[in-house]
Amino acid sequence: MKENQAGDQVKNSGSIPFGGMPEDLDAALNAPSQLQVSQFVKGLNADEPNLVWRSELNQKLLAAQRKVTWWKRIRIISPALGIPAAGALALVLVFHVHSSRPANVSTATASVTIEDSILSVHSEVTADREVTGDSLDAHQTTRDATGDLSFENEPSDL
Amino acid sequence: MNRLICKGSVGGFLGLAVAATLWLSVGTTYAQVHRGPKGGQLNKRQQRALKQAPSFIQFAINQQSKLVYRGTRTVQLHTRNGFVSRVELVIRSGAKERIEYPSGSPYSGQIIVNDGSLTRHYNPRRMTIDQKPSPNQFGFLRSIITRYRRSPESVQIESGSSIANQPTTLVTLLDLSGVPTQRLWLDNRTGAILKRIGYDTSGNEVAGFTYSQISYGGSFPASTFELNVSGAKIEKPIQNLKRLSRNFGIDAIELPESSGFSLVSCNIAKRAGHRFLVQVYSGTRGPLSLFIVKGPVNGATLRAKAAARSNVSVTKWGELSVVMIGNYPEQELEQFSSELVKV
Repeated sequence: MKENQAGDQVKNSGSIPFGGMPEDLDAALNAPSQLQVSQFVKGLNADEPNLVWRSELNQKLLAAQRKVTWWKRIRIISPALGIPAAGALALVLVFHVHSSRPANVSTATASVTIEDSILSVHSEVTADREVTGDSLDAHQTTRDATGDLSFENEPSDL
Repeated sequence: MNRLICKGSVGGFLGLAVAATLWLSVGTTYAQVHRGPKGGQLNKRQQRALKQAPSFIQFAINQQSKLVYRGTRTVQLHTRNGFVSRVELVIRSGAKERIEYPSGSPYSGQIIVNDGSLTRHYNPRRMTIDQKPSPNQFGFLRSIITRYRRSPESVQIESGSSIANQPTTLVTLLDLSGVPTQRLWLDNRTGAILKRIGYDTSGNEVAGFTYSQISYGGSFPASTFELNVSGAKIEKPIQNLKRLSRNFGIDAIELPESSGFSLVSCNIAKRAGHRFLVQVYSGTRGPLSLFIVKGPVNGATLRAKAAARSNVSVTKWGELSVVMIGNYPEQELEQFSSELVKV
């Protein structure tokens, strides 16, 4: 009863319900109103997106894909990152401390004033002269024994 | 030593009184220096050494010109690479001295001869003989007595350890801050210096020597203290001064002989990134250091830091700073600076 009523409604309105029978669908598609709509749609201009817009879209899609890939990779390998990260940190600390030593030395060196240096050399040469007397002085001693160049007496010989 | 004390007694009542006063003074000072914070007493050995101190130093001074010996000593010098030591074979006759080095030593072949006025150092590798004024060792020992009378607490005298199998007396010289400048171990029997250590202003050892073996007496031919090597080039400190000043890019300036000083050595010193020319002079009243610095030097800072041991003068020579350090009044140092000449 209801189906008959619906079929009547279709016929009366000329619309095509999706749940209709195949015979009815063919008839509906071939209806003049449907053909008219079909002709109208075919007559419309193709509205394809321009190349610039498509290119931008592709870039965005690629970027999104990369982010997802990296995030996935990190999530996959993150449990294994702990030990290497700790090792790297240790290495950085070790080498940083090691490399910072000369900096400390140079800081200390920089804090030694010219006055300190003069007094240091004075006490050295005075004690050297008074204590060892005729013997070799500090320069002669270190030149022959160690090659120390803290004094330059004979540049051509060093 | 007892013989000397007896001589003092024979000198008469006046001599005894002077000696007793001196000994009493020494005793008081020595006790003050050595008693320590807990008020510990001097032991008998220290008291004996103390009583003998003044006459012993006098004895040691008198002995220096009579000493004749042959010995082996180890010399140590502190450098920025640490201590460098060497063994020396020493022959001494009064003020004359000859030093050689054993085979295998990096200095083997070098000979140093002091004839009493000049010291000549032969270096076979360079075929040179460096010639410089002899150090005034007697003057240094005499200065101990002067120092003692002026400031008894600056000279400590006590029994020393055995050095080269000889009993010694230890003499410690202190600066105004109480930091030792030198320690000398003198042979009780002969007065010879068997061990000696010099200290910097912080009390760190800078230089020293210790005899491991010594034989007194004997006679040595005059040629022992002569040095004639054909073909060796004689070099004097003034030549070094000219060459190094040229290398340093400055005028060569020096204290002339007329000032009473003789140039002993000249070097360009490098310390903590600083580079400057240093000249060492020998004077009748002690050594003098002269520094030529490219750039400013703070005289007040230098004076304050050197005050415990030496006086300082800072003057200008054109753009250069001229620093003098020595045990001379500051006014005298400034006077010496005014006597500098270009050579």
